[in-house]
Amino acid sequence: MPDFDYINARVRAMRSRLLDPGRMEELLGALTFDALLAGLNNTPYGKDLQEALARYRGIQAVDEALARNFSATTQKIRSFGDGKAKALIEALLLRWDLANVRAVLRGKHTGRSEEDIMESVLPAGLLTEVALRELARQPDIPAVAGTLDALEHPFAIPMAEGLRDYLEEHDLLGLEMHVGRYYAEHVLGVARGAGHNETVLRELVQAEVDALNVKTALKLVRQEQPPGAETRRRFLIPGGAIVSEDVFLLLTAPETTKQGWRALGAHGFPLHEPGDDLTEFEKTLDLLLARGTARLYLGDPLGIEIVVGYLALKYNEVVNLRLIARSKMLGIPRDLVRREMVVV
Amino acid sequence: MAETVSPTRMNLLQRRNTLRVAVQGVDLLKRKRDALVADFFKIVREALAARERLTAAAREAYVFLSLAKAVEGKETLEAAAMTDRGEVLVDIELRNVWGTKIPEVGVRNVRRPLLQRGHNPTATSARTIESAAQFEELLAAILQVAATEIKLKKIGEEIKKTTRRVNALEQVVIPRIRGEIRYIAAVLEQRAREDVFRLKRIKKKLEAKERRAAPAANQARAGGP
Repeated sequence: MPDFDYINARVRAMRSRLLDPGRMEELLGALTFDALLAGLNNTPYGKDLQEALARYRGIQAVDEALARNFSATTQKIRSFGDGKAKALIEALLLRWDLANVRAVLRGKHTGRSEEDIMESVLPAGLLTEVALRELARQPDIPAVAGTLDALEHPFAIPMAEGLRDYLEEHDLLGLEMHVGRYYAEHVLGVARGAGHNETVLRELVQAEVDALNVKTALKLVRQEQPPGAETRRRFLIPGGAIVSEDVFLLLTAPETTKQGWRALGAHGFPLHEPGDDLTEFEKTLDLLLARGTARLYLGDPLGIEIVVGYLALKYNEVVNLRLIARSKMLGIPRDLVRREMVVV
Repeated sequence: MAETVSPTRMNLLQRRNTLRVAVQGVDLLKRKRDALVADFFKIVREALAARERLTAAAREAYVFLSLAKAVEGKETLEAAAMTDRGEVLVDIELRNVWGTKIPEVGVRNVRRPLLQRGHNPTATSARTIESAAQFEELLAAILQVAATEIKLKKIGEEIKKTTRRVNALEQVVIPRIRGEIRYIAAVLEQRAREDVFRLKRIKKKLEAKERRAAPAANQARAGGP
């Protein structure tokens, strides 16, 4: 039964195919978009790029190639595992399903076509492209819930639970929040226990949930008219290690937000209350998380850290390549792109 | 054609009256055109400024969107856009400039708060929200440009129409009326001359008749009892 020693050996081999900083700099220095395409052709993305260029042109082809490559990577890692290791990896990848299921729900709620919905999903989780297409093909949200149930997907449970309220009130946000809360609950449930791998995954998800709750709180409190306590409470995702419901409510009310930030600081949250620029704050927070997650690659060679760290490094590479492609295509200044690029 | 007009005194008076009205009309139309041209140039400056704002807003919004697509992923942005539907309301009032109805388009605030956009704050990054806000600014700039350009188009059309009318009056209608007046006056003068001539002839005939009748009468008086 393959465990993380086997999985990590395979992942380490994949790590060697990530682009080194010199190669990245070379691509950033390409004079034109065509030169970038030629450069990308000589990387592990070459095959995906060739396939994508047969269907798309320009930036769309690069986006498609990078998305395909990332999906293939996650599916490959998923195929390495078995038993508990596989369950943990799948729990780690479930974040992509959360984004995809949200996109399908929004598409069905607003009556978008199957193709429109497929444009807004990235099959990097448990739901493959075929499964996502099947979901996108469904006529409405109850049928999507039924299909998830038939696929035995974990999100079938929150969908079934939230469906009645959705049908009564037509409140998509409520259904989305139900699925979002279940995601955290499910992943933390899979990562329950004192084992090393479970602890790593649990701490990672808790840190992400905390970061998400802080970001959400900032968005709510910076509204011209911040919503009432009941509305604010519904946007909390429970499961974080730092942001409890009390702290979240303190953070989201303008008169108590300072108190909330003091509570966060006391619990060791790494950042202070930001100024006006929320984008910059989120960028810094995401960078801290990405660096912390990528650093896990240097952790226990027989633990889940290698997979977690590798996936962070891989996704970071994809983001940086998307930035470089846009800088070449749209003539965005290189300095601006370099500032946006995440170096982990 | 002047020749098709009945050369009567009544028509002459009517034509003179029409000429006076036409000249007054030209004067009024020229003043209207001047007012419209002044308005036009004022709006041209507004339109140029609105265009510049639009170009700047578009450049900024598209660069920001590109960066957001790169960092968040195209899929995330597409998914966020799926919830982002709303209606944009504009107020249109008609302003009267020298009898021309010029639409004044008032743009209401198109910037919407996060929850009103239907965005899920737990699934939408600040970058995506900022990108949406920038496109709302772009939409406001587009509406502003549309509003000024509609006014420009309307005023431009009205200036063209007024100029055509002035030209038609000055170069066709007034010369034609003047021609008709000249023709009628000439015919009436000719008639008057003919009448004078005719009367003179009649007078002469009557005088000749009288002259012929006078000796006979004298004879008759001389050869009496």
